Amino acid sequence: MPDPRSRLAFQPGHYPQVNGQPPPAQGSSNRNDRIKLEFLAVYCELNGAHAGLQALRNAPDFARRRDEETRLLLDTERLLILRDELEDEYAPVGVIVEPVVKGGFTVNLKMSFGNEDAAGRRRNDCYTITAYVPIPTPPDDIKLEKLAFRIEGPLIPSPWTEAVADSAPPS
Amino acid sequence: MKKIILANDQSPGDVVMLTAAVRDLHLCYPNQFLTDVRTDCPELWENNPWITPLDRRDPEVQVLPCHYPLIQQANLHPVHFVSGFIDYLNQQLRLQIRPTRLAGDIHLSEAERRGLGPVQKHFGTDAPYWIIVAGGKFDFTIKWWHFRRWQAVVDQLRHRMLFVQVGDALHYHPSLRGVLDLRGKTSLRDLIRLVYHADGVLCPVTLLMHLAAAVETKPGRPADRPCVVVAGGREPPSWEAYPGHRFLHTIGQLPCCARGGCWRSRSVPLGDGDEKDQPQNLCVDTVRNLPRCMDLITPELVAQACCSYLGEGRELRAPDARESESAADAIPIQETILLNH
Repeated sequence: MPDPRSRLAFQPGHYPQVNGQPPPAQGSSNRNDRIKLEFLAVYCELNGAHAGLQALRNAPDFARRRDEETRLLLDTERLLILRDELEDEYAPVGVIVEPVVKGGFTVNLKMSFGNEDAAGRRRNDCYTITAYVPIPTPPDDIKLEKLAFRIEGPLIPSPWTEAVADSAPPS
Repeated sequence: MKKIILANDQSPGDVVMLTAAVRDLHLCYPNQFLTDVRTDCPELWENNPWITPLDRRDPEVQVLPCHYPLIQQANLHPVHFVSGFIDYLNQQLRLQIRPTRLAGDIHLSEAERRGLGPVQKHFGTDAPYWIIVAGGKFDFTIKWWHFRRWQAVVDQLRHRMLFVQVGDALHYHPSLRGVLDLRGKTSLRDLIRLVYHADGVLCPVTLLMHLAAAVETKPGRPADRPCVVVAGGREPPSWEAYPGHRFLHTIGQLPCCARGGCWRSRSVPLGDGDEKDQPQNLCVDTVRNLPRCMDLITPELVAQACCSYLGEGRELRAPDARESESAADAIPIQETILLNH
């Protein structure tokens, strides 16, 4: 589905945010951004279809325009099937999309990805965490280098946290 | 008495198996060992009578990193995961520990037994419920079943069972409709209490199946807690299944798991830089990116397995009309675009 922003009739109000942020740029090459754009396009169309339905049902001559309503409902159904197909395609790679809906319009897509954490870092990449831990200075007669420090805790390398073969394929 | 600290930094499901080894070490060799543990999930060890706080600086203390190389035999011999750490301890300590129970060893306090469960607190009623896990961690995505299939099971059983969905907020757990959503809201201890009060568990091969077997059942309930496991062909039932569980597997049904589990990691590459994306770790037979072994397991089959626990002399029961109504009122129905159109 083409990016709706490239169309003349594009309605910016129908284009949801992603995780509360503006959408990625058109034609973005990043894989996750491309997935975001695919979902955004479908939800933008759904919002458009919903706006059309609302306008039609509020029209004074609505009773004489039932055929139009049927057409719009069929269009909505087609878009929902497209949405489901996208969800099915990306579920195996851990993509979750949860629409935030207000008044029938999707205003935001909460999206998470299998290959990235919430901060957008690849799950298997190393990163640095810095913490400042104030330690009282020892009395003057004790030299710092004479003091022994040991840090213990989960995920901190220690003599017993050597590599473990978890669920390795049996030979 | 010999002092040992048993160390393991694997996932909670593995650590539940270590609890079995500690129990059986003491039952087979009473008054011969003082044991302490170092794991990433201390909540699994709360109230455990076999744990004595030990200091690793104590020269009498031996620190023993624990593994389960027995897994390498899982396709060749009928060995169970519960023997994994036991076998390792036998080798390392020159012992002959035997498994005394085919389950882990999780202990509740009296207060936890007496207290209201998280669901009872939420609903204000003692409605029976099942726990559902509709996803998992990102390391072994091959264990995932498709979320629409989990949803189909919930939909089929809507009037017979109340489901409570759980899952770590940092893992893959798509939301389901018509369930009580406790995703990301339970600590490990909460999960144990949730299992204690649960009538059953529905999950893939994951921590919850081990808890279903390891956590005692409430007085008056069957000793074996019902549990339906959507397993596919990754792991042989002889290694993973517990007595009384409905372990839905496909070993022997497909060429890729004809004579044992495939032990592969992922259905398709995730692109996260993990070696589990390498071809030798990927499923060799997928149907629309779902492993064929998982595709063979239908929602109807799973729903049937759940229902097989109802009746048949068991005292399990479905929520009555009042409880169902109360639960339905309490379940937050997500406002979806489907509902609005």
